[in-house]
Amino acid sequence: MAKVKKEASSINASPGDRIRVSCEGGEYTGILLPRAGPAGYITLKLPSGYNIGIKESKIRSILVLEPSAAKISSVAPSTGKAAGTGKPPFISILGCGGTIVNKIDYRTGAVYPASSAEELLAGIPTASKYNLRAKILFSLASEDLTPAHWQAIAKETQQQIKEGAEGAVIGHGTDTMHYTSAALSFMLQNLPCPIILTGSQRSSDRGSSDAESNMRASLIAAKADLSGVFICMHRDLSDDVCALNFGTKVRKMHTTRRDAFRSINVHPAAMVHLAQEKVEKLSPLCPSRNKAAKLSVDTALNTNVAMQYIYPGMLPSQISALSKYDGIVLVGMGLSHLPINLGKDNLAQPIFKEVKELISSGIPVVLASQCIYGRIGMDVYTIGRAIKDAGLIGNGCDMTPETAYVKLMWVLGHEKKAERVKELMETNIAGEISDRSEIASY
Amino acid sequence: MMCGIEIHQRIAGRKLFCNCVPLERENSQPQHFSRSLHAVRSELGELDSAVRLEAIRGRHIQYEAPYSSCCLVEADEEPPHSLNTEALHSVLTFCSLLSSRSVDEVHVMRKNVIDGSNTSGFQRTAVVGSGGSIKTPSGALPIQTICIEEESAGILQSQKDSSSSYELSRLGIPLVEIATAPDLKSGKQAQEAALAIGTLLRKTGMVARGIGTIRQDLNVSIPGGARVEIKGVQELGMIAQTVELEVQRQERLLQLVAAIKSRLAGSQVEATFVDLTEIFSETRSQLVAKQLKSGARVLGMKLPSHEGLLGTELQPHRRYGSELADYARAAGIRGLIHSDEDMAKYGFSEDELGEVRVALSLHKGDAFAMVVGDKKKADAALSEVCCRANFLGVPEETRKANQDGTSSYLRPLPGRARMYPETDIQPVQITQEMLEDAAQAAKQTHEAEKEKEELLSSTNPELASQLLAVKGLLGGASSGTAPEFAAFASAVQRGIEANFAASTITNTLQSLKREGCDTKTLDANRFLSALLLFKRGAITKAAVAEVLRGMCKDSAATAESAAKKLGIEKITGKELQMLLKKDGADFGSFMSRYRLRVDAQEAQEIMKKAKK
Repeated sequence: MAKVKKEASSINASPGDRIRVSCEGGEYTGILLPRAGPAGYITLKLPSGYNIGIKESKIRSILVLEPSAAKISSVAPSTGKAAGTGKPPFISILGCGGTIVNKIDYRTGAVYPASSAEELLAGIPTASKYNLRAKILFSLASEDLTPAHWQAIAKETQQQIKEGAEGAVIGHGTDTMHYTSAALSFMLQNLPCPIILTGSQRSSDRGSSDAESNMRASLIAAKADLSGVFICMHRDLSDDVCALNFGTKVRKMHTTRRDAFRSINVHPAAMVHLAQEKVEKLSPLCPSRNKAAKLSVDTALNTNVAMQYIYPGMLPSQISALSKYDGIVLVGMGLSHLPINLGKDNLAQPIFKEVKELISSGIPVVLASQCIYGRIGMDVYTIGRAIKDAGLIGNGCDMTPETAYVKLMWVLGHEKKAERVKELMETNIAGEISDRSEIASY
Repeated sequence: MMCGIEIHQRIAGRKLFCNCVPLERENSQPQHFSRSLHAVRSELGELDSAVRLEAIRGRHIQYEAPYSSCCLVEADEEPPHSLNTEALHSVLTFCSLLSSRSVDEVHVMRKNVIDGSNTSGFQRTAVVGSGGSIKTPSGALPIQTICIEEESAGILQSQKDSSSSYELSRLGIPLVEIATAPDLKSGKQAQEAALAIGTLLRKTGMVARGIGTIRQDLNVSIPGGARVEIKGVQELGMIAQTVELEVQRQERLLQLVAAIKSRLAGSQVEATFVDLTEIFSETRSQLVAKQLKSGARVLGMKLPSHEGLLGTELQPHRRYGSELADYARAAGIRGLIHSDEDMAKYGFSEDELGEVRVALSLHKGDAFAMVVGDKKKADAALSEVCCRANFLGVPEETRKANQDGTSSYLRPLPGRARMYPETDIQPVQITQEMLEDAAQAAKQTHEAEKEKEELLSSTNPELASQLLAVKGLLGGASSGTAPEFAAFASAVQRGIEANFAASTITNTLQSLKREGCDTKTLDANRFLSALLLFKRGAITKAAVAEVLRGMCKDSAATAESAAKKLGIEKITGKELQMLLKKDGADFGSFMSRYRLRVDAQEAQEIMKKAKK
């Protein structure tokens, strides 16, 4: 929440007061607002509804015409309590924060999260059509979520299913939603029903927010004949269709667009058509509901894992500095490459020696690609072969760097043996490695 | 009567919150997408009534985004960039010209508009200045506020069901909105004020020109009436009539209200809507039968003691019934059928009408209203009609200006509830430097104006006003000043007689253009060279038009080469003496033969001397 600055001592009025300001050149009447911008100005709401800023140094006097009826305060979110009368089977709505559950404090311009499960439920369109139970797990921007939060979400999901949820919709900030979806995909095994993560790219304080259609589509998906973890967001710029993307094969690919989330290296699992309230499966890999499936939840993680982007000119010492981790994902160049200076050029700055040192010290090093799309191939070029021989993990895999990172944490949470770690990393566990590279998936 | 006007004028240059420049012609295929907009509460927690109404309509909106003149900002797929400082400079300049006081800090607001004309669901707008005045023939008219705002998208089509299409190239063009105090006393004064403001804005050279670049909204109220905003008067010449007809509408409504009150004697129009669909199951009315086939319902309501009142004319060809119909339409219904209308035009049978009367339990003196459409919308439409019928007065509302000077109801008058801060844009501090720049630009406008007046002082007034009005005759870019006036100014400065320079533009160039000559191949300099050739004495006055025609046809030709090619260099001095000796016996036929090459005055003087 933006800081509400205390008004300067010369301003003898409180936010919310109706005041008359006399200043150089004339007078203004309006409501004093809390100040969110730079100091030295006051913000006044004119009777027309417009706000203006007045320079404090120009103010001669302020007359309070009518004191504020209520003091402006912020509401602390109450987490943990559930709302909704849903008897099983119900759809569980879990609030984790992010734009989709945010409201705006218009007076300060700051955005704050839904403060209670009731408020979360009240903000959901078409809620009356469904049997819902809502709960706020946390109210955080997704950039502040950690692996511990993924574990909490997984456990809560398990609890909800145990209590009779036939599906869950998780409201989540978009920036790291694909990390959470990958983590849940590994942690929630043998899911009987769909777990849908959704968010919004335009906040709900605007008429054009995508929150409404994303939430509507997610509810349709949560009730549909599906199982597994999915991200449900706009397919394109229109509000008509949302895409359901597999939790391990999806990535936020745009900073602002509604259709920021793209399936990587595979087709989206399904499309949700809002007008028809229908889910259209696109991928043969998209599983149906399975009431008989016995959910097992395995949240063990070793979070002492690092992810390092490789770039031209990086110093070998940056690789050496990674020796304190139990596992490393290198986001390499192209097909599978790192600067290793095969050409023995004077200007080159190879980092290969340091990578090899990490591996020989027993740290698993996984390679993913900055290309995002496509597969790692260590057999094509001499450099690739050298990398493969050195023991880097990931040959033939098409995981996104983020999925590889989450998977390595999960694998290391279960396995310490280097060979076994390599084997698990290169084996498909939760849909993260596809066996075919479909032509139309790029 | 109280009347104020709001002028909306587009500002030249790039868009207000991105770097797109609106293009007139697009070469590439546009992108298409569709959206639905939702009602949003204001910062005070209120839902604006105008916004609520749009939400009832639940429109699905189609957008067409031309490739070159819009980007992700117009598509509402990227936050707005910071406020266009050149546009702000223009508005500060207008403030300076109107002696308005600018705010210290500009706060961009969101004004909820969910009819689809803004992809975001709101229009961005900010107050830049307040106070000041504009000189009008009836005296100084106070200015209330000066705002900077973004233009809305252009509507492509609006179906009466629930979808609309908009084109996005217009969206985001900067506008200045100047609102005057409600001090205007007549329609004529309103028209004069609009002209004065529009003229002042154009003098700065900072505004866009052409059709649709300026729009006038009118605020009219009479004692006992209410403030009514009439939007989008496109033609300046219609302002006076629009104001007068609104005054008439409010006066007649007040008379009508008095009549309704005495008839109703305290009772109300009840919101009881009866489904009459069955009555019309075999109707001969094409209008109704067609809609019933696609699942529509007929809903009716009683308007007690309203017989004859619905037909009361409020404006030419607009009755009280038309007002109620506007309200039904605002809820997304095609129209309203009421009992003061000629029922024959709908093709209803006497039996059907009789059954309607029974179903609605009508008594003598009662009227009824019916709508046909989707059940939910028909219900909403009759609710709107009922509310309007029970509002015994002049409602505050936003109306659409019709071309004949009348107006139709559009939506309730929006209040402050639809305004909340644009959190994506930081407030802009108005610095001393910005104010000085604006004052400087205003001063230049004044000086240019003074210079213009001086230049025109020796020109015949009629020619002068023609000259100021002409456009599109000369080519070449110009900043602010039209190239025609620039050419005139430099001609006068170079010693060409003002009336001759002006008439060469307004008459000669105009008729060359009419002949089909491409006069735009001439810029101010080429045009001037022809006049200077005459001034040097190399061609006659009469030959100027011929030289200009030659120069139009050959864009590489100079004035000299054109004169030479046409063989119309002036014959003068000894050469003329010789020619006169040879051919000048009959002076009349001599002059008609050598009109383009001989100055008649010089020839006459030579003749006079010879006789002596």
